[in-house]
Amino acid sequence: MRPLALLAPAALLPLLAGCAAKLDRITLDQIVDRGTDYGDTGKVCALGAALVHPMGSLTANEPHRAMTVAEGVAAVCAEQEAWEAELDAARARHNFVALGDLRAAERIDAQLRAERAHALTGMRFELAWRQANEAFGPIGSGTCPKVAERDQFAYLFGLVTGTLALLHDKAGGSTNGVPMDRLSLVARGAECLDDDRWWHVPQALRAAAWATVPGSGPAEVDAWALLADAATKGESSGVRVARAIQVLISGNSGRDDLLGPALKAHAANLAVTAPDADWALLDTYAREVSLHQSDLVWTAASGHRTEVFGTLPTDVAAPAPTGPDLFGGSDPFGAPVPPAPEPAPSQETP
Amino acid sequence: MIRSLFALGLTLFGAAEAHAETRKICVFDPAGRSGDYYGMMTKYATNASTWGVEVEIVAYTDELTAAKDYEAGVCDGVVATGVRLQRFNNFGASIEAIGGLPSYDLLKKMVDTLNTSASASAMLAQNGNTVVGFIPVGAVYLFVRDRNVDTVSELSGKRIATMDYDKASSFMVQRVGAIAVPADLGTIGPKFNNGDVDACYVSAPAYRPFELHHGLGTTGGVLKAPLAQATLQVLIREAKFPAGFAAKSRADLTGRFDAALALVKAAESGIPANYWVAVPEATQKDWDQLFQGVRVQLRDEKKAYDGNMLRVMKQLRCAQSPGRAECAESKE
Repeated sequence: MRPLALLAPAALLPLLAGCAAKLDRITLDQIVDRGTDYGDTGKVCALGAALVHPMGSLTANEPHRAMTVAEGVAAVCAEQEAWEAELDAARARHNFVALGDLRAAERIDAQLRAERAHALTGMRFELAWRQANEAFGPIGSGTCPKVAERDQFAYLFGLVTGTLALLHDKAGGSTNGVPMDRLSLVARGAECLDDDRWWHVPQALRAAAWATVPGSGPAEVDAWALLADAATKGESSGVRVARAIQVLISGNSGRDDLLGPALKAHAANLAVTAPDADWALLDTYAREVSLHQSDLVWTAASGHRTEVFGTLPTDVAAPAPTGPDLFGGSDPFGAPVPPAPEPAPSQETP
Repeated sequence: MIRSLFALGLTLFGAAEAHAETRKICVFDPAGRSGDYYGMMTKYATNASTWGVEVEIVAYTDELTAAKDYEAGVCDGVVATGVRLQRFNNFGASIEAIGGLPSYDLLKKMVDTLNTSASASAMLAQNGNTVVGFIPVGAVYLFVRDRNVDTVSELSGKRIATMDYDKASSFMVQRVGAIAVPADLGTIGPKFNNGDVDACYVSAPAYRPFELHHGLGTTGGVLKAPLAQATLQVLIREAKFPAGFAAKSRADLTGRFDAALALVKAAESGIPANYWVAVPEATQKDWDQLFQGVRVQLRDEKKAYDGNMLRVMKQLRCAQSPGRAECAESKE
């Protein structure tokens, strides 16, 4: 049933054969428009994985904008496999003590699974980045391209995939050879979008690059502070992608001092700000990114994933308020038990 | 049945009691948890869990902080470059001595020798700080904005970005009559690219992230003559680890040498061929002479290099190329 369902949209594609521009438009104006309304990344990654080859094969020129999105969302399927394998490795480390030295084999197996899945994820994100470069010209290498309003999402998406391609490729053993100047290209490419319009994600991408590559940003800018600022400004929109970027980069850099507060901020904002109904998918993905970082923290410490998003295993439960102390600070159960009263003499009936 | 369950319970509790204590190793990798070297150390840590200790690794993108946390006792071990760890263990750090190992073959031979020599094993432990493995991160090359500057004498008066904590390089810059411009990982790229300096020295993996092609432009070049071999070194407080850990650790990391070297070679092949500047033999001899003088002075006057390491390095160089002028001398 499922494969047929996946093929249904592909069956419609021949109607659009021969015209890359049509495929670009129907993808961005209709499929993306509808798909982002629903906070279900599983559906979308399956759709992207199913459509990417049919879309690429139907026209003489590939529909690069459409394929940027299709390749990018297809990567999310592999990313989720990588995340699960990472948690398996952490869980084996914490929980499988009774296996003795065999535990190492369990951990190595999970690490290798994670590495392979990261490599695949990196490759898919990299293909998305390349499509974006085909669509908009070499990103970050010169002046800003003219990007129409209706194409700006594809451009932004391309920037995100460029960043994720590098992170996943590195975690996958650098099998795709994503070059290390990628983050700087993304940072310059992000200058071409309006921060307010795109939930401060461009600012977050710039700051993430500058925080990660020493000396790549302006000397007077505190990249970590800029990243936190983007996250805070962005979350009021109900599309918390900038916050997820802050969480991801903090975790990746080992900045536990920043990671914990960022996770709490993400969870706290979810409680007070509803997702933007038009972009629920992105907000869900952002939550999943943060939740995975939280799961890594929890599993390393406790052997299981996050109990409540926004809490950390190091949190100390505050004592519940009990009102005024009725015992004046003394232990009421520590006082000697009063002697039992003498039984009253029984009245004998004559 | 009850007895079986009881026995299982005993086994589980026994295993839990035998669960090793955790030791933390702070790992510097500029790319953080996604980095190649952190990934390598993840696998190392898993293997180490079978050596009688549970190794937890923590990513640091700032090398200085990692070293400071090691010094403060936050970490029981640290992974950082030899030059950064020189003040803890100058024997291990001397593997990065200027001009000491001109090829990756010799570097590998040296690492193998350090792993198999009982005397070296003793020397790798200094004041409780023991080097328990080396990971190659690339030969250090001189990047110049003017590719015609490729001799020792031509460097005189030039401004060279110099890591402020690197005593050896500062000293060498002085020796060639150049001007040392203090830099760190955060400023070396911008200083070179903006023209604040005429040259800088880094290994190939820094080329892409620092976008050094901006500084090289159309006139610059990379002198294909290694100044030194940069390594990441695993340094531990040996007293906090079980007996035999050091040897197992070195053997494990030696098995990862080729994989690490492949990353370096991939980075080197990513530098466009037209940027590489071949150094003529006569010029190389001048460089070698300079390197030798600097090494001897740093050994004798600054106590920055260990004489034993320099001596074995020379043996390796002369075994490979007996015709080198230094082979008839006894300065090292």
